[in-house]
Amino acid sequence: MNWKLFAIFVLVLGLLPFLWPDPYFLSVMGSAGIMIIAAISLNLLLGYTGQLSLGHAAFFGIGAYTSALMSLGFDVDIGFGITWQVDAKPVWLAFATAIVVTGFFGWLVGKLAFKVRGAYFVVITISFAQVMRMISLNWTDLTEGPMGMISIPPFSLWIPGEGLMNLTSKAAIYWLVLTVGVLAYLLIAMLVSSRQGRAMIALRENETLATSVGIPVTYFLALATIISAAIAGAAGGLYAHTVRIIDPDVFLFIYTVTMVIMVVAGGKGTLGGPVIGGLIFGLMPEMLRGTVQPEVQWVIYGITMIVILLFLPRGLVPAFYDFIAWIRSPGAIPERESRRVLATEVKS
Amino acid sequence: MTLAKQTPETASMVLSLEAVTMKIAGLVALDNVTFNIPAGEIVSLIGPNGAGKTTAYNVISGYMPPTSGKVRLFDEDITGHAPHSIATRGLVRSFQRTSVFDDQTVFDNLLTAYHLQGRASLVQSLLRLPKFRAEEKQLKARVWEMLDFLELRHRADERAASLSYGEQRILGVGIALAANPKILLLDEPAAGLNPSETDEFKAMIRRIGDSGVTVLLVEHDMHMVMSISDRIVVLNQGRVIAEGIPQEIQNNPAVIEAYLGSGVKRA
Amino acid sequence: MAEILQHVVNAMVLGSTYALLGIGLTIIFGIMRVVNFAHGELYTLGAYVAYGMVALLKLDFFSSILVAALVGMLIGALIEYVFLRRKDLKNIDEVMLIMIGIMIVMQNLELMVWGGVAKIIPTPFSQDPIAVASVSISPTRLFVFSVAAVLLFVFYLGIERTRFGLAIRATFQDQDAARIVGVNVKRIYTLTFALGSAMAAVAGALLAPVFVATPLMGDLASLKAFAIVILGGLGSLGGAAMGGFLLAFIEEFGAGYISSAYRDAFGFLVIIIVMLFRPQGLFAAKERVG
Repeated sequence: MNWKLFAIFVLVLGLLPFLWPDPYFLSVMGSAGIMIIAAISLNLLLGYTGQLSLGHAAFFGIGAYTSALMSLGFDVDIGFGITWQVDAKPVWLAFATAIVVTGFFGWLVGKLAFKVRGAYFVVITISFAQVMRMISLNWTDLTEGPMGMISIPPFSLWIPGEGLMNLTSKAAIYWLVLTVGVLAYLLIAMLVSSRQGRAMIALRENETLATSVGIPVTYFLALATIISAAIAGAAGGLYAHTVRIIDPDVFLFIYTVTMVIMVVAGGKGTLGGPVIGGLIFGLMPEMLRGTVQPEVQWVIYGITMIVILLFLPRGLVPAFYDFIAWIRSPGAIPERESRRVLATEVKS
Repeated sequence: MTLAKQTPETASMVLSLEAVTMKIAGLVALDNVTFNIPAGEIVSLIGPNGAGKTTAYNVISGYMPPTSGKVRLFDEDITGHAPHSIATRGLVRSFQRTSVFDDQTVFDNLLTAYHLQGRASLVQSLLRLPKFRAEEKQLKARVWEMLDFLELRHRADERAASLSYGEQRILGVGIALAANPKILLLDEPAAGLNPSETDEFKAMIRRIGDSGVTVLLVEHDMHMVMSISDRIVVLNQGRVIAEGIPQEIQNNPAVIEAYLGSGVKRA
Repeated sequence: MAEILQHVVNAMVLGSTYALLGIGLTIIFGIMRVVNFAHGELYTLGAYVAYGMVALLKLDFFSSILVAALVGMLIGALIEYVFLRRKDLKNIDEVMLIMIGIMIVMQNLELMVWGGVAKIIPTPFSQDPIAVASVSISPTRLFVFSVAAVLLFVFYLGIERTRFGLAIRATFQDQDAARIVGVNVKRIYTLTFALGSAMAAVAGALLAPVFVATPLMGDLASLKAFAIVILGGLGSLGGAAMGGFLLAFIEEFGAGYISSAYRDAFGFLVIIIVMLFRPQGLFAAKERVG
């Protein structure tokens, strides 16, 4: 990966609240950032490991609910006269727990992935998210059901000179999301250019060949799903403590679809893909807001996605590289050259 | 180029099949197949189309558990084990079709194939700790060595799918070699190669054999088979019909009859 | 006992339409390997067409079902022709995502046109249930069951006795072989998608008066259709029909005796459990490796 470009990008993003301090803008960027983190996590599973997982909202939601519940404390009767009671925990601890718990669910899904493949796996992942949604709707003792959970405490940070500060301002939230986002990006970047990452990519490219050189399928599928789920859980946790209200709608298929559009339109299996896709589809609703109804927005989303899939099936980032290659040498076949460039992208 | 050196084992067999039978959808693809591969030899598995050679490979390398019978690797029962675990035990196979990672560069194809040679843990990889860095350097150096051995150095940055057919076959063998096999199963590696490419291939197989790796070869090119093999096993309709040194096989009436009229290529 | 019988009756009604829905997806999924997320949207479309015909145009219920079928067929053929033709269907991911895109567009168009409120479809039947022994069934449901059963039978005849049916079955079993013996696979694809979509639309039109029509019913319908395909086992149309009845029974009895809130979840739970313990719902038993 291109460290210089990355550093510049991060620097610009970090300075953004000073350059453009409008709280509405920062809040939009913060939300988009959370979705981008979710998209980055999905890209590991869908893009790099080649698993058609369409239940990613489930991990997002599990992360959000776990973090919220741990930070608020809960008290439920789980039958047989047993009560499960947890006191409110500090937000950072709740957040960390959420990541671990979501990672565990990722492991479960990963284990299942080995048994079923292709289209059947897709259906199972979707079902998983639906079941989660129904549980959060109906287990009202734990989750408050359709009313959702409110008054979720925010993150707090100890600042020298200021003491313990609640991160509630739009700028603070923005920086928090940016930090987690950069960490997530780096994690994935380091992973995909390592031996473990190569194994995951090999599973996507040609599983039969991969096993013949000793790459164990279940282990790496499970690993990819755990990491992917954990990062999605982190995004969910961020959501819970920044928006501070969550309800069962976080499990809706529509959110999974949004993440999928971001990854696919941006370019699955590329580092920049989910970021670009996330920026476009995260900011599009804001740009369209006020001018068109949400239904129309979604029609535009859908049409955009179809058009990209029909004409630029590898996504915008690879298409961009195609374009650059074409400019440099109009005679050559741009796709071949850009594929070559992208194939070496993961060399760090 | 140093490949894994194998301690010569005179008494025991590297690979044995015992009464392996494979029934697929009502057809008997392999019928009570028994043969042994001694260490350090180059053995060819031949037979007319449909004789069951690739099925035998699939059973041996773990892609298909046999209906009955046993497969032993260095006296250890590996029947029905998963392919990746058989690979860690020293048996690696190549494939007739889809033998490379199309969208990866040649370099990355081989780097991926060196998976078993790496030991760095996930944490070491993610944090780029010294052990990881040192290991990556070492693995990459070995990739360059392998590229030289395969004479594909000039293609290192090309996408594997853009290589010529012959180059892809060679890369496929390289990928299998990277997994450090003690016994290598090649599935028609020379198919579709022109005569000069075939000669280079023969030389490569001899080099591999010389370095101590046992080689099992499925091939249709009889000239190559006769000139390169220490021993030949002949399959027909799922059964072993002959086994022996090339001269014996050449004159074996059952073998000749099996091949009669099936267009054997004699160079 | 009476309660059980009642559940059985309800399950039969539901099952017959589920069977239509499931068979529709089986032929699309089985022949074209398309993960058709838009299938549920055709179901919704059928329901809304029926609503439009009956409530707005004051047509009779029976012909509205016919219109729903025709509309379903047309839209299905259109989707196949415009979007799927140019794609190499081997790219399962991309095709699937295109179908998701179509689903989003259709669902939101429906929201725009009809609004989010559930629509009730008036039927010409009286609301008084007919009682037989200790079971009661509303005339509407009886009608739905009859029509669905007839259609299933017609479909069976069509598949088994006509040349088109033969061509479809051949393509289902082995595309390349079918191509070799002269089947025009491209046309079969269009026909398959059209037919499958028509069946979904009819299922929607039939079930709409039993439940209500909402724009979001498609999501659940798609998933249930997949559940039916999985339960029945890919590769057999009879299996899909069985799967439809099976799912209906699970839902009815699950909702009746375990929890009606989780009614829709039973299908999903069953899929997950089936896949865990009998994962050979997969395509080929032993595919040739190498």
